[in-house]
Amino acid sequence: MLKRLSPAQWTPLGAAHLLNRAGFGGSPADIGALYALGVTAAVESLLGGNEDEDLFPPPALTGPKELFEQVRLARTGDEEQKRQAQQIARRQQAEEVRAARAWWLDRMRYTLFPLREKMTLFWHGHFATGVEKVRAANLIWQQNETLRANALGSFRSLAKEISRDPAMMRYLDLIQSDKAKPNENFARELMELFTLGEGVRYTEADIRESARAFTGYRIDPPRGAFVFQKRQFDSSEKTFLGRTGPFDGDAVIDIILEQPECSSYIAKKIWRFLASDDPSPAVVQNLAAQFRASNYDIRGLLREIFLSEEFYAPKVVRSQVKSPVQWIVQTAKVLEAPLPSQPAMEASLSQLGQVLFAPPNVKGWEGGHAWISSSTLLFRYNLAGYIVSGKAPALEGFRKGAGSVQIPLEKIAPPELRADPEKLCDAVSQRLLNTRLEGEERKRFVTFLRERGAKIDDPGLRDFLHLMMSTPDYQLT
Amino acid sequence: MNESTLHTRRKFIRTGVLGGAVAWTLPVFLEKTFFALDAAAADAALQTVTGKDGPILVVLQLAGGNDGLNTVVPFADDAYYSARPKIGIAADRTLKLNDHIGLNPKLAGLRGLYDSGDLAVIQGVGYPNPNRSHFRSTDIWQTATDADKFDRHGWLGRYFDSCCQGEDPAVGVSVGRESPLAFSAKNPKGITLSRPEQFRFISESASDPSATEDMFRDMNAMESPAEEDAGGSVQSLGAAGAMVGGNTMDYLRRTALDAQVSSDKILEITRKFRAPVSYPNGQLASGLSLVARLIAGGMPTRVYYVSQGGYDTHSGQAGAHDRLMGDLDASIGAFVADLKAQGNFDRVMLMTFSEFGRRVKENNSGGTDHGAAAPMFVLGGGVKPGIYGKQPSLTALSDGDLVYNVDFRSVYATVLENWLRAPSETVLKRKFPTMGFV
Repeated sequence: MLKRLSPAQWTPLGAAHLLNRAGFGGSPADIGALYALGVTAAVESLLGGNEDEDLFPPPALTGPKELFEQVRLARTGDEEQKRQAQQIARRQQAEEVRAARAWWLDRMRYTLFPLREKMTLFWHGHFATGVEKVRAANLIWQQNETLRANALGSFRSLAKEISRDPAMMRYLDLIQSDKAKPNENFARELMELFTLGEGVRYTEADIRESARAFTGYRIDPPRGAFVFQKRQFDSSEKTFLGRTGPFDGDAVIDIILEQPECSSYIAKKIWRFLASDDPSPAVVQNLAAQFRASNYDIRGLLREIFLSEEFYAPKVVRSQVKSPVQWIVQTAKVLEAPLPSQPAMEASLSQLGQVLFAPPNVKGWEGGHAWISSSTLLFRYNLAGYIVSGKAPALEGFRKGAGSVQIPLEKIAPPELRADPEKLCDAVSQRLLNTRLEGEERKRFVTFLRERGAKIDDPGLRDFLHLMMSTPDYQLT
Repeated sequence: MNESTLHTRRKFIRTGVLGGAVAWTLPVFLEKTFFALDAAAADAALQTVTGKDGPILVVLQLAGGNDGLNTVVPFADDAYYSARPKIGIAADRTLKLNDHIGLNPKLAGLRGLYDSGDLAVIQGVGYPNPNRSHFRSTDIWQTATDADKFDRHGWLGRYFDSCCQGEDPAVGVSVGRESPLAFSAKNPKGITLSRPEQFRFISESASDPSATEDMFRDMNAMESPAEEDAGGSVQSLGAAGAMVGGNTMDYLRRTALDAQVSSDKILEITRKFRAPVSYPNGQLASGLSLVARLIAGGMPTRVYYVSQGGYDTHSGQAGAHDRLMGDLDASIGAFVADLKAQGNFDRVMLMTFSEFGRRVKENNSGGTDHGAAAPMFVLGGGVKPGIYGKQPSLTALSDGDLVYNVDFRSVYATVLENWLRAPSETVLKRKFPTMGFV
């Protein structure tokens, strides 16, 4: 077990850190409320979530049955009719994927159970599946719901569910795999990316053998759901990771989960997503041992992480580059503002390099430093300018229908702060950066405010917010 | 950081961007980095360029899968006409390169470059187990991996990582809205711009733009104290030139400064340099014209990336493909004329590629579906002209597609080794035979 954080070590910055990493940050009031709970109750409140009240009506997407009909129709008629039907279907699907994306971002913004959305995002990057190959918004959304339902549950169940997930089955060609010609795509990635890490424990022979176990996995088109076709299944014996038997896919997953490397691979990856890039071997060993002992209970692993002293270490706090999704959602939350409009978010996520449901490949997003290049950094700065300006964007790519974002300036800077540059600077940096600026930086921001007049008006405040968000500091959480 | 360094830094950022000639003043810690890297250059395969000399590569992506057979037409092969009764290009319309093949009639400019000894045509380029998905095959070309392997980093990104550490961030410039996967690197380098005037901090919407701009520059030109104490980024650059345990804040600060420096440079250059020739309309032409201006301005960029879309010609191909070829030819023609007028033609090599060629047999809609092997063009003053590779057989097909005889990574290896002078084995992670076109 990792050393726990003592109640005496629990600070408002620690509470902010927890909310940032376990979710998407929050307003000063949110952080204050979490801090007041004390560390144990704060962590439990995030782990428990508010599941029953966390209701979001599903996005309006063409159901599997209708989609199946559409696809069938698009195969009839002459070439011209086919082309037109396909084009209509393609456009509609593209529109629906955008709607599903907006739905998810909205959910991240307003959920009462942020940790569940955060982990859903983690699993989306882990079991990365791209809609360009799945070609059905409904299936990709269905996968999103599967990830959500299992996000904090058992990794064993999650891995099995994902192996039967229609979007994944399409993405990694399981639906084309049968006993005559087993497709190795899924089996390879299952071990290389989803459970063990490249070349850990397994050989090419293990990939071939396990591919045979994952045969017979099909999608029942009208339901858009998994169906096992026994005729396609290779029921003969396989030798996999040193064991021999007529294994099916679930048995293969169970054997993989017996390998200690699986628990350390997953525990390390989750630590890296939530805490820091370079956990010490001791941290990984500790987390892995407990993860394995708990039969791969994700919630237990998260509890262990969030209660540990290590998670609140100075080198961990405010050291993580915000992902584009984190940046956008957290910005809305700290400013207590709505998300930018759907067209603005679409354009932004594409420019910033994190289009949900379209990871670059099956490895997901690399994250960390890779989020930041001179282009994406400037784009973040200009996006901040657009958001706080309350005006239509001056940015290329999302002029059409992007609209403006309304920021509650009176909440961010109530009248009593407007005439006090130092207090205003502290309040705003506390809100945006969870900490007060010190030294030279603070001096300069205060001077900037002072030069704007005795009382800071709304335009001055907008400039100030834009500037504080246009710093390397604001890119970190 | 004491007041005087701060002052110097601010002064640099405000005023020192283009001091008359095209010579950039570098912030102290970047200079230190360069100095250390120069010393280490021998072991680390690092390359330093000044922007005034050194080879430049322009990668031109023909997105959507260009129909190779109607680009370089095997007019002497009857099988071509029997596979393409509707869209086949008649022998006498092609711009013949020899007794067997001719260029698409719209490629008159390229034909001229062939005659003047500046164009190499590489036939039958592809890779084993070709993938017919646009996305996947584009990824394969961009990462230069085997068809069944994935890589997060692109081949040019790996080149930046292994040869251009510590160099100007604008070592790679991609024209467009998104950075190509080919640029993706361990330590992201390269900038993406479609309109140079937007590659900057936009302060006009501020109520006091100039105060905001000044403050922005101050806030983004700060060194972290640790950097100064420890001798700066020099120490965080390991022997292989990689950032080891690189402090994230240092990385962000460096990138912030990089962004300002290259943004200022680019704005200055695009304001100062105007194309000496006229370009046709269109996105490709305006992209190439921007590239030519940046080259003229002496950007220390080694690789430019531009693309032309629309090649997914499943139907009604004849007119559409001809238009694309015409646009390609005219855009390249203007670009070449521009470079020649600047005196930079010998420094620049342009290479085209597409994620795949198209099926040999036309489909029922007067178009072609996704295929495999196709030709590439490489042109520039440093090219050894000619026809490389072999025209794949139109009858001995694999799954209805042409079979490649040149692995595209051999083309990359040639460009890396013989043009960019980079160790191709490090970049491509394997040794591929080089070819004779450079």
